[in-house]
Amino acid sequence: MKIEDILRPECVKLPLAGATKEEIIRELVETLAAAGLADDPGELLGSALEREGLMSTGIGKGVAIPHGRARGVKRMAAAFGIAREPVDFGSLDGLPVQIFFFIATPASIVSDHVRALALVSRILNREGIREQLLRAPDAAATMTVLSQVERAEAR
Amino acid sequence: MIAIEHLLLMGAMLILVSIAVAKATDNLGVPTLLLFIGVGMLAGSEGPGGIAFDNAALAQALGIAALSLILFAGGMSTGWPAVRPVAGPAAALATAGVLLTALAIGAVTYLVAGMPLLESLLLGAIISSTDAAAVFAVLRSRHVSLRGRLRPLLELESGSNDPMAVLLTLCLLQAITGSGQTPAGYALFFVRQLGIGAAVGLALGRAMAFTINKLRYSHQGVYPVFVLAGACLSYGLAAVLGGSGFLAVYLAGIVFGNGDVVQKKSLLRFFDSLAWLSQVAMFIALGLLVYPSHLAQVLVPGLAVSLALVFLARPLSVFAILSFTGMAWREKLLVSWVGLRGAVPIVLATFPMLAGIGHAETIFNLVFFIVLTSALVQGWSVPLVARLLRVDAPLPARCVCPMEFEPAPGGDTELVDLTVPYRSQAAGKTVVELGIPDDCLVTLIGRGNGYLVPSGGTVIEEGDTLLILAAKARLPEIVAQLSKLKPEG
Repeated sequence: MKIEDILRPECVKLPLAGATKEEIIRELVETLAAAGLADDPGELLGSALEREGLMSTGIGKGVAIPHGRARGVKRMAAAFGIAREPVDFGSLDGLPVQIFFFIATPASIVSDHVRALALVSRILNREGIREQLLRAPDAAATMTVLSQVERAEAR
Repeated sequence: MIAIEHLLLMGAMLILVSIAVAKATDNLGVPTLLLFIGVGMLAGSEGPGGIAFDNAALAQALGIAALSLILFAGGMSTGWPAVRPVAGPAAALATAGVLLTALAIGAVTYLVAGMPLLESLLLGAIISSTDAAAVFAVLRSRHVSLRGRLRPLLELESGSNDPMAVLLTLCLLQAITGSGQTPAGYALFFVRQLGIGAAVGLALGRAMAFTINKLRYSHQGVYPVFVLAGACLSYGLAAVLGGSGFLAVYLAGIVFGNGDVVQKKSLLRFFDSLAWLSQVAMFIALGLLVYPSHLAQVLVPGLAVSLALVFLARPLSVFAILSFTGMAWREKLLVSWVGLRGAVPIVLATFPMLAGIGHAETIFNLVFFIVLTSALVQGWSVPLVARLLRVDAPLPARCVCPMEFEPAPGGDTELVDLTVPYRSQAAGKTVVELGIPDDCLVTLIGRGNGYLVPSGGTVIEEGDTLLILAAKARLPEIVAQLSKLKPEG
């Protein structure tokens, strides 16, 4: 699995307009819906919010990987965004979050979903990557940063 | 006789090329028949491969063996509960439907191809059955999913209608070569073939299921071999006793595959591979056998008969046979469209060649031409036609290993994915040390770009994603364990 397989440049949103956790997640879901990757945005949003209710996906260091599984999603897809200002996401380390990587998966697929979450959380934990992503001026630059670190990760 | 090392080398090259071609065209939905026959034609005497192969007897023997395995594998993976409700209509299509198609094609051929009546009817008989390999391949590809009982109906029909086509072909050959019988003789022939075939298939399928469970042999690799022998036995025994081998082997596959047998998963996988190999070998051999330049000579009558088959003979017999079922016209149209021709007609077309009757070459080339157009036009367009007729169903999500499921509503356990937060205290601990409640289970760990199947001693890392099966009430405890962070620095 590669990041480029699930994240298209048109699903990179810089910056995100939302200022609360729910606004941010809604915006990411709408980005996916607008790209034709989620047939029923309400279903996906509900799944993602339900998952947040179990345990925040703010996994620390200013990163969150909200995610949902929904029937309206036909193949795994992701949306990426940087918030204008860090947002309180209920993160476990208490830090507000600025980097968001949303993963949407078809309802019946489990293991690839787990793998995508693991891949993204591993990549975003690398030294220096978060600063580079925050500095990236546009979607193309973001994609470059992600694919570079992914290649470094593969070594 | 060619040397064994050359045979192995050539065979391996052809198979590898076929795999490469299949892989390269995976997303295009090209019917496998076309691909592999194409490989055979290119490898043949008129293509760059230049392999001279005109041994119709060998091609026929190979074709029959391959078809038997394909039918057995198809029968094995046919779920009886799904096909039982359509058994009646499928049986009618497989017998009366085949006869009607053969008569209609025979009439059209007589009118357009300028062949004598009996030879025209022979051509009709040869291409009267739909092809199990082609139909299974198209319907089980991931490009199409059909509504309701269409798929079981089409699969059962294609698996069970070859005997009828074989019998009609044999009868007409007898009539042409002058060794014909009385009408009562033919009727007896049919009853004997179908009756003995069915009896042998049902009995052996049951016997195999019973025996394999008693086998208890320590070397597990023997099980598929046992079943392979059973499949060959079904064909051989039925045919030697004067029954239909194809019917026997298909029924044996259904009975065995639906029985409660040990090692079913690995058996299914083994026969899936075997069926694939059979298809490749058979189609390549048939592709080698034909001279593409001869196909051009039958272009006009070939097209006429193809059109008559697709738009007249097949719809006619389908609508006539299914008129009593209450199926919607859209569904009947789809059944008509999935009248795919395949290897069986080509294999049957070698019978007249070996019998040495007149027009045998023309019949072979016509059959070949019709099969190609059927696969090309109908096979390729099945997904599209299903959508246009609105009889398609949503494509099932593709299964990706190692585990997929449909979450069951209700139930008080849940499968949740939790990502280990950065700086979580859980990182560096083993699964046992996590302190996950006893009635919860870490079933899978995603790490980096792969998976681990965890054991109690697996050490957790930051960013791992744990797939946990847990009672809903215990989730907060697990979350609390993962949420504790290591002190700063």
